[in-house]
This record gives sequence, structure tokens and C-alpha cells, in this order.
Amino acid sequence: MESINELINSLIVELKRGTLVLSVLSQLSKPEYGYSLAQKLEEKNTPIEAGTLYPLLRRLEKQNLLTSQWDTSESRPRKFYVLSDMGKEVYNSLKEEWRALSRQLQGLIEEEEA
Amino acid sequence: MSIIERYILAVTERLPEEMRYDVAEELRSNIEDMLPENAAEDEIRSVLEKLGNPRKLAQEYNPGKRFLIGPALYDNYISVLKTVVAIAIPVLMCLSLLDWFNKDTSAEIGKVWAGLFSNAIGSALEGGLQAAFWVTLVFVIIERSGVNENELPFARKKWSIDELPTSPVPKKALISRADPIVSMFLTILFTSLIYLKPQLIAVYINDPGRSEAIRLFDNDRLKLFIPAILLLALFQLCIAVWKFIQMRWTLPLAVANAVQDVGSALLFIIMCNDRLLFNPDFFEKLSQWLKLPLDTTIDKWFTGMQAASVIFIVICAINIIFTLRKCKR
Repeated sequence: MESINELINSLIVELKRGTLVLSVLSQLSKPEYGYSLAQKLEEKNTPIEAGTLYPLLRRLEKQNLLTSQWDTSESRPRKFYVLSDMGKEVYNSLKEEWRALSRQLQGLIEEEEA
Repeated sequence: MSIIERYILAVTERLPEEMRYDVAEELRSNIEDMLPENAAEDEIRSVLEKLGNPRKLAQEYNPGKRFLIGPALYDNYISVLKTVVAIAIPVLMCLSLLDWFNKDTSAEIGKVWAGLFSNAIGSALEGGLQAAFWVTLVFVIIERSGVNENELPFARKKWSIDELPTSPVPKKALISRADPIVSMFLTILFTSLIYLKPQLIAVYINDPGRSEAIRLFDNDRLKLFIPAILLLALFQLCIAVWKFIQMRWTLPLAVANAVQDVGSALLFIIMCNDRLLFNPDFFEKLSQWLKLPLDTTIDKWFTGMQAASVIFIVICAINIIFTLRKCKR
């Protein structure tokens, strides 16, 4: 029994991994810093672990999908990330792809259940 | 140092220099954001534990190839390493013993044995280390260049069914195990002879009463050729390893082999016809021995060298044609 749950868990992690970038891009039309983004995702019931999210932001920035800026006006300096033009374009394509994908999968699952 | 700073250091010390500072700043501000005002120690602990193992976090920050030789090549690496070490140690031991016998014939018997022993150990060690270094270097080149996965950067095209190896492999396309091993042996022998012990390439004269060795090459002039020789040897070693792994002729391998042949032919021709490369003493000895005037001797020698160059070119050309034909379907 234990091993089935383990297998299911690892498959769920794999399933979610592909959606991480899409969820992060979807929340960055306005600038956010690491913690505020984590909070926002958590409130919307799509939490991403801090240890995954923070490095992911940097990697997306390196891929030129995000731009970043340090804000030092408050007591604690924070690094804000926001979609770049290229990021917006990529986000729109991914969004379309996701819609198609979920429609297709929905079709498969419903057909099987009917 | 606070526990937070220790955590940040544990992450950033595993990152490349240029991203350390920024990651540290960001991580610090994120951690502080995750903590309530005036956090207690156990709250700090739980936040850091939520971020997880610093080693894993550092990997997330800086993913990519962080190994010298990957699992696909590892087994090959070990077997080539064993083979080359097994070749290099005896070769270097023999060369250094030969050299030592040449130099030292008058010492007393106790010193002879001590010298023999330390020489043997030293050269065995040197052979092992040199072999390990060069083999590792060759495999790193293979790993990084993607030769092994047929992912040469200049040949990036879609995989087609034509690339599927024919089965069974036609007999003429097979490379026997002995081929790369012999080629490694010869490469190691010649390179270490020319690079480490050029004084052994000499004419040995044993007149009664005294014996002398007259070097074939002028040492300073030979040094000019050393970089080219080493480069060519490294390339030759790469090809031998490639043969060792693939065990059959393919077009890229045959082309690399052809490039190697052309390179060696060029170097051979340039060296053979370089009048300053040969030791003047050697020509003098040769003219005495042939009972000819010095000028005639030198002319005859270089005529001979020209003939040798032609023979070398012919052998290389035949070799190139044959290997290219072997990989034709």
C-alpha cells in the first residue's frame, strides 16, 4: 500500500512540474518579489515550495522571460520580478497550449468514464 | 554567525562566483520575509528546513552538466583507463631504464641497484599519472563535444532511420580490439620517447674501450616541434578511444582518421626535410662511416628523407581510402 502511495505521489509531482512555469508566468504581469509571489500562489491554492520557486525565478530571468529590479526604498531590499516582452509572448503561447491540452485530456477522461 | 547566514553561505559557496552575492541578498530577503517579526529560533529552523538541503537548493540555482564524465561513458572510461595505464607504465619504465643504463655504467653495484629501483618506481608513477591525466582529458573532450551521441555541433540534423547501425555489422566495418590498443601503444611509445627521452634516439657506437651515443636530433630545434607532436598525439589518442568505444567504422570516425593521417603526414614531411633538425655531429659520424665527404652525405640523407616522405604519403593515402571504403554500406 505504501509503495502505491509513493508511486502516486511521485507521478503527481511529475505531472505538476510541467505546470510550474505556467503558474509562475501567469502571476507576474505585475511585479512581485519571491515571498509575495509564494503567498499569492498559496492563496490561490497552487502553492509552490519556496526552495523550488526562488531558484525558478532566477532561471526564468536568465532565459529572458522575466526582468528583475531591486527595490531598496523599504526597510528590507527586495528583488521584484515581472514578465518581459518575450515572457508575455511565451506566456500567451503556453496558455493556449495548456487550454488545448486540458481540453484534449478532458475528452480522453470523459470518453473513458462514459 | 547566525543560523540564517550559515544557511545562506552553505548555498552560495556551491555557486559560481559571479552569482553568489545576488543570490545571497535575495535569499536573505526571502527568508526574512518568511519569518514573523522577532522570530524565535525554532521558527527560523522550520523556515530553513522548509527551504531544504542547501546542496539541493544550490543545484536548483545552478543546474547543468556538473560532471566530467557521465554515466554513458563511465564504463568505457574505466576500461580505457586500465588499458592505457597498463601500456604507459611498462613503456615509461623501459624507456627510463634504457636511458639510465646509457648514462650510468661506472657506478658501484650498490648504487646501481638503488638507482635502478628508484628509477623504476619513479617512471612507473609518472606513467600512471600521465596516462590517467591524458585519458581523462580525452574523455572530457568526448563528453563535452557530444561525439558519443552523434551530436556533433556541426552535424546537428534530424535523426534518420539510415543512421541505425546495420545488424549484423558487416565484417569489413568491424574494428578489432587490437587495433586501438596497438595504436595507443605506438602513440604512447613515440610520444614519450620524443617528449621525455629524445636523447635515446641516437646512434650507439660501441668501440672497444669507449662507447658513445650520438643524438639524431638537435635538441633545441626538436623543441619547436613538441607542441605539434603533443597535439597530434592527443588527437590520435582521441581517435583510438573512439575506435575502442564504437568498435566499428563510421563515416565521422573515418573522416577524423583521415584528418589525423593528413596531419601526421604533414608533420613528418616538415620534420624530415628540416635541415636544422638533425644533429651536425650525426652527419659527421655518418660521413666517416660511409667514407664520403660531408656535403655528399648530407645530400644523400635528405634524398633518402624525401623518398621516406613519399612512402609515408602513399601509406597514408592507402590508409585513408581503405578506411573510407570500410564504412561504405
